[in-house]
Amino acid sequence: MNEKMVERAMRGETEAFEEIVRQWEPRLYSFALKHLGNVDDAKDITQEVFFLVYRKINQIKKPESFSSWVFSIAMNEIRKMWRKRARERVEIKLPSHTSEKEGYAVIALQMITPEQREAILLKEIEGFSIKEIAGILKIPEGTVKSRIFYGLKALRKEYLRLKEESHERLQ
Amino acid sequence: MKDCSEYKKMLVSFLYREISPEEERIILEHLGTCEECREDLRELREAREILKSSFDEGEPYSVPVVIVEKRERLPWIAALFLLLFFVFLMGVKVKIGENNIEVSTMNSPSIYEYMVEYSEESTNFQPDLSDYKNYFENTEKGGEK
Repeated sequence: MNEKMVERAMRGETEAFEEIVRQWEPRLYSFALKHLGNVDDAKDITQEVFFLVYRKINQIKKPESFSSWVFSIAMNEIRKMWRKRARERVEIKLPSHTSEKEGYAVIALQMITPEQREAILLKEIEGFSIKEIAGILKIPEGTVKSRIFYGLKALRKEYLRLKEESHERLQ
Repeated sequence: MKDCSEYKKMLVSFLYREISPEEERIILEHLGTCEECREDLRELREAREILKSSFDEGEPYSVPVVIVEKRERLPWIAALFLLLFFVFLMGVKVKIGENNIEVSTMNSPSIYEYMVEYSEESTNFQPDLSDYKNYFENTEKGGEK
């Protein structure tokens, strides 16, 4: 993200903010969708995060840390959604153009713990460093590594089991 | 000699090349002698490959965003009503406690039911996951340390 764009948005320039939304919308929506596995929840999260970014953008202390700041907001909103969903049945609802492989991966992601999932997605999809993830999630770096270690192992196991069960059903 | 569990975090640093030269020397030396950690590393790499191949080829998702100004603070009368309601609920909770009724407030993620559907017309991918409630209850998940 262009720092000058962030600074312009911080000064209240609507065009700069609109450009930020254009650049960030697919990234945030995809992230929320992988995390929640539901298009409706992902849309709600994306809308809410941009609303909060719009309201709080002039509070950023370091424009160069805009990415981490946005993902901190996104993680807070996703956690709220998870707390809400903890009392409900989880419905996986994916866009129609989702490939079979991608579908299995999203479902497998729902089978690991939310804490493991957030660390893995921030690392594997968003490419943050372990240190940056520790900052976003406000946890020690050792905990990030532990969540990634056990999360990746559990994810692989669930993904392979899903594929195997699917093939058995087709036979 | 360190216990294998102490190398797990180092393996993650090694996997992402976020490791100091000294730690890299230590983990490489350990991997040379430990079959279990070599297997862990192989599984971690396989999981990364699953994610990479699953998400890299897909079409990007998109959703129109509309920013609408909304009221952030509740009017004071609504806040007062909520406070009274909370006091009322506390009273109910005390009564439940007196009657020895246990109330569970949070479900474990392991008992979620999963159903899959698509937002528009369906594709060939239609896994039947309706029986997953029992499956999740009986599945042991990877824990954290």
